[in-house]
Amino acid sequence: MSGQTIDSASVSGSGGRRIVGLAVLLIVVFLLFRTVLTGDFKQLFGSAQTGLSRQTIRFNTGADLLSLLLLAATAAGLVFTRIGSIALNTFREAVRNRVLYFILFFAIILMGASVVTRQLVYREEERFIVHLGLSCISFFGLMVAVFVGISLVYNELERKTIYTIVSKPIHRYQFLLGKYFGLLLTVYVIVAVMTFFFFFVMNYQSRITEEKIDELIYKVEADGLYTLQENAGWIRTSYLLKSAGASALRAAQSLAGFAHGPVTQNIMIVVVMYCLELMIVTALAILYSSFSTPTLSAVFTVLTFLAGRLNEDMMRLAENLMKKSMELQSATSFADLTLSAQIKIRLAEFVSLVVPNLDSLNVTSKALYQDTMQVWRYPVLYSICYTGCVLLISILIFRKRNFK
Amino acid sequence: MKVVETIGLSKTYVQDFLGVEYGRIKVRFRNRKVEALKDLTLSVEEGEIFGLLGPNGAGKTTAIKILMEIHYATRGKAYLMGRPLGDLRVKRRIGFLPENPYFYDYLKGWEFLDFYGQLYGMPRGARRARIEELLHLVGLSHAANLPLKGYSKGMNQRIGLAQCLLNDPQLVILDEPQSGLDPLGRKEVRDIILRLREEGRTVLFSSHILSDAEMICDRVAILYKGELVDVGSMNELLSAKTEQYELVVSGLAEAEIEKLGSGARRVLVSEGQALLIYGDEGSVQEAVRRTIQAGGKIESMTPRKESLEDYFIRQVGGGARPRSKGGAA
Ligand SMILES: Nc1ncnc2c1ncn2[C@@H]1O[C@H](COP(=O)(O)OP(=O)(O)OP(=O)(O)O)[C@@H](O)[C@H]1O
Ligand SMILES: [Mg+2]
Repeated sequence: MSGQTIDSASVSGSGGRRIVGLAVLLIVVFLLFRTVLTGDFKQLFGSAQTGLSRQTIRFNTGADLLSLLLLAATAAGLVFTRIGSIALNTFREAVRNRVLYFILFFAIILMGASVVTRQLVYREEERFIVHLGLSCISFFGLMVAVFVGISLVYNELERKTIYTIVSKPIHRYQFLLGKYFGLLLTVYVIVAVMTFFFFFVMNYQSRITEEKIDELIYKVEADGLYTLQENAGWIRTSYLLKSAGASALRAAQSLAGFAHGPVTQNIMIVVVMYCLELMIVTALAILYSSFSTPTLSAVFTVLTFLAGRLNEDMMRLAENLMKKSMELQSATSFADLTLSAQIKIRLAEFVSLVVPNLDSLNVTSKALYQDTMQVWRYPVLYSICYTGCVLLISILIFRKRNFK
Repeated sequence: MKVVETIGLSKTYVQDFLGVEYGRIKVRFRNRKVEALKDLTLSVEEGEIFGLLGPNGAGKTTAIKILMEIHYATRGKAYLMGRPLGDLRVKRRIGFLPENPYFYDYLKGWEFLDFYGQLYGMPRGARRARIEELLHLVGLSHAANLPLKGYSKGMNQRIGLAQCLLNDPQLVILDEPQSGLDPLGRKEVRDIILRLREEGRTVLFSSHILSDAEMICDRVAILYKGELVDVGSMNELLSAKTEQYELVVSGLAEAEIEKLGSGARRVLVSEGQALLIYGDEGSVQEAVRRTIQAGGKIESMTPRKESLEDYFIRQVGGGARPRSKGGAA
């Protein structure tokens, strides 16, 4: 019990770090908003973004202003509300968790590996790399949502930290929503980091070629012979570093939606769709972990995700069933069908309705084979509504629950 | 004013197939019922220190969990500060320390308190001042910047105590606040509880360490197997008359001690000293007189009243007590 005063310098130092952390976080959120807005509501604000030349930076006043507004609302929500306090604490817990860095590490290794793979695949190489990168982002985003998400909720209950939280003047729904937004923030930050790295790798690759390096480090003499320059090593290194810097800058711009080429724009749209998908999956992870054990929750969440990705098939099944039975039973309307056929059709329809329609959010293949594309409003609305329903059910369960 | 009031509070734990309780949502399968609390009716008055006592598994924690809404009661009602449970205005004026508390171990001491201060809606400046004060109070100022991961059990208990005093609560509910603490820590917690009463606050705490409770409680309730065995002030519960007298003498020959021991209930001799226990005042006075006559020295003479411990064993002891848990009290 020596040193009875708090080391106030270090306390405020940590406070400063916290502010920097918060600022970084908010920038990421801002970028997400902006991307959604520039991708989705471009007609609303009337600034054409397609066909933008790769070098220009163009602002979209309407989208930028709206993003700023939404950002301010989010920031205020995080700083001034109890849900926000819990969300930030959840984010802090995730960020101090080693599992997150393992996941990130593997994602980056895998994407970095595409640099090597590129030399093996000649034709379709860009498409291949894009596909690999997007799959990485989707898969590891899902991993974070499921494993980090479930363990964060479960830890609260298992380690009984919830006991003191419940005794504080907050509602249980505030706690659950705080957890949800904290998790979502974590997932989105991870997705943003992966996307940034992905853009970086793509840019870097397209910049660096052996011919260019050769051109730089060899001099053509008067007699037409090539000689190695004296400081070739340095030239090479500085060229690589410069390219890396330029790539990082471009990656940041692409991420911010400021300088889209057709490819990066499509990628951003796919990533935004992933974000919508992860919004639903994270809500499901919260739902399942609000009443069952972590292993079961993880299994349920992954199964729902897979079912969600197959949802269109289920819809098609319902349609086909309908068509087939109509033909077979030569019926003219649904009511004429036999009861068992009716039940089968309704069941298929019901399942496709209840299971999240993640299929419609998955536009990866479209992005790979179309030149320009847009995000439509429907998926955004659908995801928000579906997430809202799932969270509502979670709250209803959580409210009446006894903690262990 | 009744700060805490419970009426017929009962809790039956039902464990279902996933091993989780859903409260009112009843998924029954492989039922296993435990009646942890049966018809608990008691009240705690403003400004008193109220002890909830009982052996392991008596239902103390269950009662407290229901009050804090960690669990919902199967039957019965409870009121805090005259309002039904679940009122956030009441929660703003309550502090709670769970048993064997565990907190966010990735946070530093002050970060943890700061986070909880935010949950109380305290402004930034007020939080900092209060945290500094509390860390000092519980003797953790040196560990403010240490992650809770690195805290010992006792330090954890202390930060838990700080956490429950953040909001300057009117009512403090502590579940075994002294477990995991060394003797000095126990004394410090005792002093803190006494100080809280001096400041006009109400303290409800549970314990199975009876001597601690005995020293500070105004009133106690004794629980056993989920039932309220007795409730009242220490004087009411414990018989007021002195039960026995303990006399310690030295410098006497063995023959003399034997003579003294003839009127005693028990005699214990060690290293030149003798402990003699008498059942009535007359014989102990006689013994004192004779010791002085024989040239011996009186080391101490203590009248012993019935302790809570004795009472406890009298009430719940004997055949009724589960043997496996016998040593706990
Ligand atoms: N979550 C639970 N599920 C099932 N049974 C429980 C649960 N919690 C407590 N019990 C049972 O309820 C009874 C009372 O437990 P409780 O924790 O209230 O005892 P306690 O008086 O606090 O004991 P201790 O002094 O050991 O802390 C015990 O028999 C216990 O097995
Ligand atoms: Mg207990």
